[in-house]
Amino acid sequence: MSFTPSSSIETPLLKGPLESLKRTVKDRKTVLEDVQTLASEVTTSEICAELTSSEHIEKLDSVISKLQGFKRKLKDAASEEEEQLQKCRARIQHLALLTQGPEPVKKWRALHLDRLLVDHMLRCGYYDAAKQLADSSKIQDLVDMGVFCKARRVVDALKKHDCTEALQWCAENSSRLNKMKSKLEFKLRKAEFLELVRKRQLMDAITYARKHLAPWANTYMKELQQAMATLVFLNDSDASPYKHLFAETQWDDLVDTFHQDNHQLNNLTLESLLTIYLQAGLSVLKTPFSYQPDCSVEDPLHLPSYQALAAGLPYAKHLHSKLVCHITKQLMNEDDPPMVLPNGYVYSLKALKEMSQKNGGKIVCPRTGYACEFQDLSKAFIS
Amino acid sequence: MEALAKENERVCKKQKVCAMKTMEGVEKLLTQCVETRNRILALQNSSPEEPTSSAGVGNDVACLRDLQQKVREMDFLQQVNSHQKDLQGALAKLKKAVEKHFIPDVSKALRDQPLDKATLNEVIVQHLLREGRFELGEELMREAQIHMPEGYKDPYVQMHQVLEQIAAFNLKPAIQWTKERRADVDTEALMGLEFKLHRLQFVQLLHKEGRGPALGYARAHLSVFSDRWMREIERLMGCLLYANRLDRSPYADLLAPGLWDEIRQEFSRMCCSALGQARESPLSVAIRAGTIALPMLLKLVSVMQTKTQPEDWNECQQLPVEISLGEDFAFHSVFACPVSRDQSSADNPPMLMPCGHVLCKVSITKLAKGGANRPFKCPYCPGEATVQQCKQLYL
Repeated sequence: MSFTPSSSIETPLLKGPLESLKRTVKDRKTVLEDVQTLASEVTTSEICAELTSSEHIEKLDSVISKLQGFKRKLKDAASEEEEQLQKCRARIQHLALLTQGPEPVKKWRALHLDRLLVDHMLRCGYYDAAKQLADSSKIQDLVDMGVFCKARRVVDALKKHDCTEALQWCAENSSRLNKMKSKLEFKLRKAEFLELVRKRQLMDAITYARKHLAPWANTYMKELQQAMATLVFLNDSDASPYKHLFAETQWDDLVDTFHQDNHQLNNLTLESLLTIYLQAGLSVLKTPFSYQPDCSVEDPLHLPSYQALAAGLPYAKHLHSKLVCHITKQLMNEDDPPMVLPNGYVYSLKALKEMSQKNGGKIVCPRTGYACEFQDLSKAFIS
Repeated sequence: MEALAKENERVCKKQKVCAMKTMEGVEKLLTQCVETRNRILALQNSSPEEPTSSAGVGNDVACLRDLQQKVREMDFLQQVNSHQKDLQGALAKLKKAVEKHFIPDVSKALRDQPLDKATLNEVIVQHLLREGRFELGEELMREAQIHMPEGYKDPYVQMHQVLEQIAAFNLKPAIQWTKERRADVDTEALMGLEFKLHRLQFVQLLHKEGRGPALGYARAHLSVFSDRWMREIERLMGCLLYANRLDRSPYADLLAPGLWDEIRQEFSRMCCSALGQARESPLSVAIRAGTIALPMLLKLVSVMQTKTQPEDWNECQQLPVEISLGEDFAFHSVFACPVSRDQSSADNPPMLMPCGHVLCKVSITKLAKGGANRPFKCPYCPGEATVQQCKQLYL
């Protein structure tokens, strides 16, 4: 059983749970090290003989409660790990369908499309539809609903111009966001500062800036200075060169930054999987023929909506001719060569022979109604 | 993929062991501490009048020293470290196996050009309706605020009602549908579908009700198919001999449950065709094409980026390589001029020369070097022709 090209591009499917698993295992290690530190403390601490029994008991109690805390953490880590491993298992089984024969491959295709749709719906914020689709197709283990549901609270709050949820999220993920050199926290602090300025709470704004914006001074000095300048111009002066900082679009930008960081953190692609596949598919199907009025209905690009989606995408390259007979819908080749009617229309020999046999040697072009005899046909040599 | 599954199972096993052992280790420590605490408490309770007597304190200290000794013996980290290392090792192997076979960044081939959200959502709704997922379609329309014209889903609703009936082994609505269509469009494919439906119905009647009703059904419905499907009708008549033991007869294949799935698929394709639509959902087709093309496009992008003069992926009007999708995707003819390798289009159609070879118009004009009446030589044979003698082809 080998890997197929279609499975080689399923990286996001496995990367997500694997990276989470790696992190959970590392967390467990930290807990174990903490337990060890505690154990060493217990073994190496001087036993003070002057303390009363109650005081000894108190000390022991604190050790006990710490140990219980560690026990809980280990339990949580274990159940997280099991969840991630179950996801991995389900996803590997799903990919294995690609190597098991034509029927399983058809099943894979259907599930694959459903997965792409769920991913798209989650990214657009259509959470109910996504859940319904995931449940009805039973692909809950194959999609990352958890990540998006957690993100939903943050996004909803940001849309209402409230940064609290987002800042909490930053605090929870601070070490990894710093590694990524994420700008999100700075942007959030700036947004809250600007809100205070907008509400004319200038003294509060300055205090806030001292506390929360100053630490970012080295990294984002210019933007910091711009933000501070709004204290002078405020938000309603048309002459202010900083008016754009108060625009509604700044909040949209915040939501986008959050999405980007969230996706990167969770090893998801920045663009939806549907877009990635669809762009590739539309491009490779796009031919000038698709835009002509008598194009086959089987070609997705004969539909105006698909043509709109494909606008601006490159055409597919075809170095060799492939002729499909308009009547039989089959490919023409040396055994079934193309024949040309006197009016220039081309059909396969097979189709024209059959037509001539049924009509006593006469040929009628199905597209123009032009009539002629079978003998009037000429052969075309198309490589 | 099997190797990957095996590695995954290994990691699972190690994880279970590690979780168990670490929990055990912490439990042991906890038990010891609790025991010591209870002992001290018991000592305290047994001699409350002498809280600071040297004997009482000495006992406390002894208990605590005991605890320290026990914890030292337990050597927690030593015990659990090996399991933790095992787990991390297995996980690292799994990751390596994944990295070996999967392309790291699948979004490299994306062009800087987002697909229009509204159109995309409409396309998705169309797909869902076509597949019969009406509730889901409605939900999506609600959340994405998409408006569809009146009666947009009626044809699909009808189609899925018939399909549900077929799933419930009732073929009458489907047969009715094909009969109605026959009045408008008498094609071989339609007749073929109707015959298959009748055939399934015949076998079902034979199996459930016996020879009489089956024969009656055949007389009533199959005569119209006698010129083309005589051989099949003969087979069905042969089935009458095996009325009660069809599954052990040479005609057992007519009982296969797969036939019902096949007929459902064929019916839905025919139905969509009759509606003037593609036989397979366009979204499925596009995604399938994408799945085939994407690995090659990703390779292409990485090659383009390593060239000395990197071309901008976003700027190319045509894909730089040919990606062959296979016969399934041959929806219409494609003509590539053998001289220029350009695809023909409305402005540059294929032209037939008198010798029978075909070139695109631009190539012929170039060969004729501006003279409409000057003969030029065909690149593939000794024949000569003028531009006027060339005929435009409609493929």
